[in-house]
Amino acid sequence: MKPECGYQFVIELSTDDPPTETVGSHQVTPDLWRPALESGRFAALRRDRRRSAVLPNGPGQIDPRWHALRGEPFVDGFRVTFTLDDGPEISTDFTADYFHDTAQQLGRRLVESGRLKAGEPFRYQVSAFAAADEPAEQRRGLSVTAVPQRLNFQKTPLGTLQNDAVEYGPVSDEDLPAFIPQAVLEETVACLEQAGAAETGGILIGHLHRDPQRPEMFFVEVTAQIPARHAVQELTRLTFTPETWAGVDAALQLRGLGERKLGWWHTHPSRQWCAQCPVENRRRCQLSGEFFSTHDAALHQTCFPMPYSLALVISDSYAHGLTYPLYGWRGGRIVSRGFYQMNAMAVAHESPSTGSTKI
Amino acid sequence: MVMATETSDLTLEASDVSGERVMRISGISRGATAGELVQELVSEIDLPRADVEGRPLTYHARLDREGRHLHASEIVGDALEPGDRLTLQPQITAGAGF
Repeated sequence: MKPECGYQFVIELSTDDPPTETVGSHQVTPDLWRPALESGRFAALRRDRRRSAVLPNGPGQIDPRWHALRGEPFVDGFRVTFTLDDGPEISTDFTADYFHDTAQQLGRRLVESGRLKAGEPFRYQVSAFAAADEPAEQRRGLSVTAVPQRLNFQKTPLGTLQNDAVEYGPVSDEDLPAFIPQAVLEETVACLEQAGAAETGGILIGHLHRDPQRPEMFFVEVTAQIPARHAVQELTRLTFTPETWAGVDAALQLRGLGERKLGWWHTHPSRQWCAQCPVENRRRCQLSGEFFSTHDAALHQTCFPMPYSLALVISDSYAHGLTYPLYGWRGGRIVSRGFYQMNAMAVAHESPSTGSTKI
Repeated sequence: MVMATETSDLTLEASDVSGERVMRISGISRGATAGELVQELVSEIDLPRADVEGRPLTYHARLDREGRHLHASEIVGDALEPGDRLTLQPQITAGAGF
């Protein structure tokens, strides 16, 4: 369902070194707006003083924020507005940083096509132009309306879970708190070991909570992981198939605990990737660090666009041993974030591949 | 294109794999194929059509009532009933990308 937007946004790339030269432009397509729309929709729910549990149903409206210095048609951000049922309009502002990752992808394609040299710095500028109305003959015959979605959550004070958990990674007040049990992490490590020289993964399931004393405070509790059966596992790729998703839905239904899909996890078996490399290169190889690839980000955006969705990576590398970097949505972009580890055991955690340890 | 070539009383619900965005779709041509319907639904739900390498993403429609994926060649009027719910499930790849 397309948002209401009277403008076509365009990302223009240019070389950074003078004389600057425009090397490419890209029209922002509807799917690129989805993270911002979901972020704005959820923000409207959180800020609704009536403590509604129903997400705003409309398509949302997107308006450009004109560049403070350069003015129209250049923008330095945009605004997403939702109208609550019988209620006020609630807006969320985004900066042009929202388009950073898309600009990076465009830059890579320009390098592949020879328009940019590898490593050549470039900059991007976002503009908005009044969009022409869609010609009547191109309108499809379908009628589409959004079904109101009631966000099912448990009413739980945040402290109930927070008091018995330990922070892991860069926990920030900007993120919805996420709680992951030690047992789930151990299951993912067991899957990593079993998969050997192949990526593996699964789906994180659990509950969404709302603090009754602070109704704007939502947080997620992972209760289990469901292995991605019928996925195609390769050394550097993991493909989720329609049968994988169907299996997860069936497992959720079988469990009958009212859990929802909160996100996904997958492994980066860096030791396997670097197994044939000289020992002196292993620790400094970029694949030996924690990262979230463009493929990973694309899957997350396609399948887990809700602002509370999580992407857990089980990284086993020569540089850092066994670690659990978590990624999630912040301001419509995917960022590295921390979480709260529940039932954490105060013992050294050995990498399954060698004896290197990480507590 | 799923243009109404015959009067259709078919109204369905369609969601993406997250299940958090559900659309009610009406005006569906009973003579269209499931493959054509999926392409229209992908557009209406604003799902990506290609992966990061520009290759087309494949979506399969899972019919909740029967617990199976529709074949692309199935005819909508034969396979679906009013009120059916479809979940668009992609074949999609994560990974290190090298």
